Amino acid sequence: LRRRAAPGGGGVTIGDALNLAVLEEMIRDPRTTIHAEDLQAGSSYDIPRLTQQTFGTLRAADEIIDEGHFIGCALGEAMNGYRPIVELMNTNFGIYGLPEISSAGNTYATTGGQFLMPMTIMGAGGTAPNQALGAEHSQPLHAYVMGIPGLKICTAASAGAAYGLAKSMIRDNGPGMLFAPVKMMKAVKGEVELDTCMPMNKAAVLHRASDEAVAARKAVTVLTYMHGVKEAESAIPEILEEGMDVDLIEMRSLKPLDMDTIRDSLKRTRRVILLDESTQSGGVGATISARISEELYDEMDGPVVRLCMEDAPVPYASSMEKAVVKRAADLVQGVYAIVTGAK
Amino acid sequence: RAAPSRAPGAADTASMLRATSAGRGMASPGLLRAALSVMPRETDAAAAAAVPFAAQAQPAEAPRRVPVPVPQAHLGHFVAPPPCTSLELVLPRAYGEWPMYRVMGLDGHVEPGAELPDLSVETWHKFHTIMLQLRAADDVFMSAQRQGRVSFYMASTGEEAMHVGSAAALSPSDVVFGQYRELGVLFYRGFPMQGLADQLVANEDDYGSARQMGVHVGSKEHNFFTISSPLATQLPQAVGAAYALKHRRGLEGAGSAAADSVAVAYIGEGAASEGDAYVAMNFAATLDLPVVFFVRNNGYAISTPAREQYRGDGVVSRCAGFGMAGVRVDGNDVHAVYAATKAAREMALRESRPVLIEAMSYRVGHHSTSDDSTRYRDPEEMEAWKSSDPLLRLERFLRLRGLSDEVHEARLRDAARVEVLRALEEAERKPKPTLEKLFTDVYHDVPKHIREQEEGLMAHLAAKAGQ
Repeated sequence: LRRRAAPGGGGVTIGDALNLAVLEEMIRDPRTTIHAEDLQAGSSYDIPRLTQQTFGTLRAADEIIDEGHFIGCALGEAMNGYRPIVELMNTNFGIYGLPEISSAGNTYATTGGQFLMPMTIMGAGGTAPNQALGAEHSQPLHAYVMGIPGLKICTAASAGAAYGLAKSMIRDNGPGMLFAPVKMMKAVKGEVELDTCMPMNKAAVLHRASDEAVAARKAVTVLTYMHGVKEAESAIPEILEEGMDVDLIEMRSLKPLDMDTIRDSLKRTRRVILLDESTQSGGVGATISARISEELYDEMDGPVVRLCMEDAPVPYASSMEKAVVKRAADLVQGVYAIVTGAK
Repeated sequence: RAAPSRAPGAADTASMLRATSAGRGMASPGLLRAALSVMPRETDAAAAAAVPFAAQAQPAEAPRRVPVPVPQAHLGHFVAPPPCTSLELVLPRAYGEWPMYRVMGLDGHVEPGAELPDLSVETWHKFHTIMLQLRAADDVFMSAQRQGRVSFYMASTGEEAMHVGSAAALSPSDVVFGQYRELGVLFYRGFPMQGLADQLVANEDDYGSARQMGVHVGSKEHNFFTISSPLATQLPQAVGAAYALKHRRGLEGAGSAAADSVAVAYIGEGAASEGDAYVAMNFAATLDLPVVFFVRNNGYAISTPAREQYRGDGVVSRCAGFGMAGVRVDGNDVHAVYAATKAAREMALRESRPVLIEAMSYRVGHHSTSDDSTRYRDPEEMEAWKSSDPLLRLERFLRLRGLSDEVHEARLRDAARVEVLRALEEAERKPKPTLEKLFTDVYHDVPKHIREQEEGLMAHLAAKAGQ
């Protein structure tokens, strides 16, 4: 895995990158454990692959079906000197564990700093355009947990980010959640920077608008995460063709938000559009939009534009689903509307 | 006087008291002195003489026992459990292993001593037909998924007897909550094959308006609640439905439909680990509700075998803890399943109490089209279960009675397959739901903000098309 993951090795999937990070951290710290349903069979995306075969059934537990149980169990382990990793087969089912996730976030504070909570919850989830998984496999858990204090929330849309963030989060002594995009787990391949932990509070600039475009007032800041990254990257050629350009920023850290990177970009482009994988009400984009409007108002020439899901359960039928989750074409249109002054 | 070996002396006791209550400022000096005054002072001879009974000889006979009334209120609302004087940590296996009720052997003969339920020949034929339809559906839709014609499916291969046997014992007014592997129950209750095909293809005719993923069927007409993806959510809901039935029975009287209906919840042995399963059973038993819990123990929860799911004797062994009636049955014996469900339903109705049926079976196919069970299962194991195949067993039974033969079975199989293929083709011809359907049913009456979002989305799409 390390050979394939290293530059020139051919690349690994996001699932493999997380698997590599997990295996390395379990070797590094013998108190690191992992819990997942169907763990022995590698779960859905190979995140816990070979952990049980390597570390045994106690350190790598194939879990009984109840997310509340194994997250709660991990809580108990974490407060007693262990470093648990929990993999959610699909982050939607983390909803079963909301009381426990909430507890995890609260623990350090409610115990007066006496008990550490070094727990990492990772999993694939979210909503890709046209993923055909129905309402209950398409909910934005990342949006639901935004408000829980004490949590660090990160997202990864590439093997490199997944690997680096997972390593950091596992080593971090607080509770963290790492979300990966369900439809990209096996499809996308990439390299990782071996043995390097990535900062958990920094956004990544994936594409920088040219100075010409900025000078011509044809550049827009695009903020996105998870599947939105793939959509945005695929939209860039068309955007460039139209004579526009974007500063594409992958949030990577949803909580805390990296307002500095956003500010630096906004100072150049003066306009921002969010490609958000959550609902209009209570979503991640709503939080980002509010903060930008409050803190970076003077850096903008117009309002924040937010492309997000409507307040309706994500339907299964393609004819309906494809309109719900905003995609590359919507982004191109949005950027166009901003640059031409329509929005 | 012998010095005490190391009994806590007054000084130690005093310092302990001070460290605890007085140290926290809780006890007053007066209280402290009073507390100290009742401590034994064995180091003080005069004090020793003052302590009653210290040096007296034992009485000649054992003192008479004076009965002390057991305070009922102190122990709670139940009668005090009988005390015993031998300490025993009871191991779970001491409770015994629950036997498995069976009527028909693997060879199709009725077991000696078993009572064959008194069903008509028509019903047996219906069992056969529905099982074949389900098997044909499984075959066709699994292939269809691999071909990209439907995007998801879950087969019930090997579990058909649990579906039709239990469904036959229910009345149409019973409210049914499934997990996701109970399509045979739906078919038995009259749900059309076309309805399944429409749901899988997600066209505009789907009862659920194409919102749920494949096999997540529901039909109010057939009293079968729409399948929900998160596991075990159906159990508390079934208990709630039974609660409503109990309300209605009180209001509508003894002869009403409500008085003659139960709630039925199906669940797998893996999903029975979810907290919701535990609370549902406890509530049903404590609130005396007419629920039948039908546990399909098919050996696997995706890749997790049953022996890694629980330590006890299956799921039915939990009944004692809940104060609930239960029975274990051979899930691949359609007659036994029928008999058990009928009896359970009658008890639930008559006594307004829950009953749990644990049907033992085997999941022959993969968990779903997203699973490859050869990754974690021995092919030999999958072969071994074929001898218990519920469909073959029923066919053996029918043949023994001259009610079926190879030709008849082949004809039925072909007819079933044709029906499924026709339904699939028809489903694919039908139009897909329009975008407006996204916004309907979020609320009953479309509120302003949803309407605005709809208008916004339509304008956005129109602008996109215009570009």
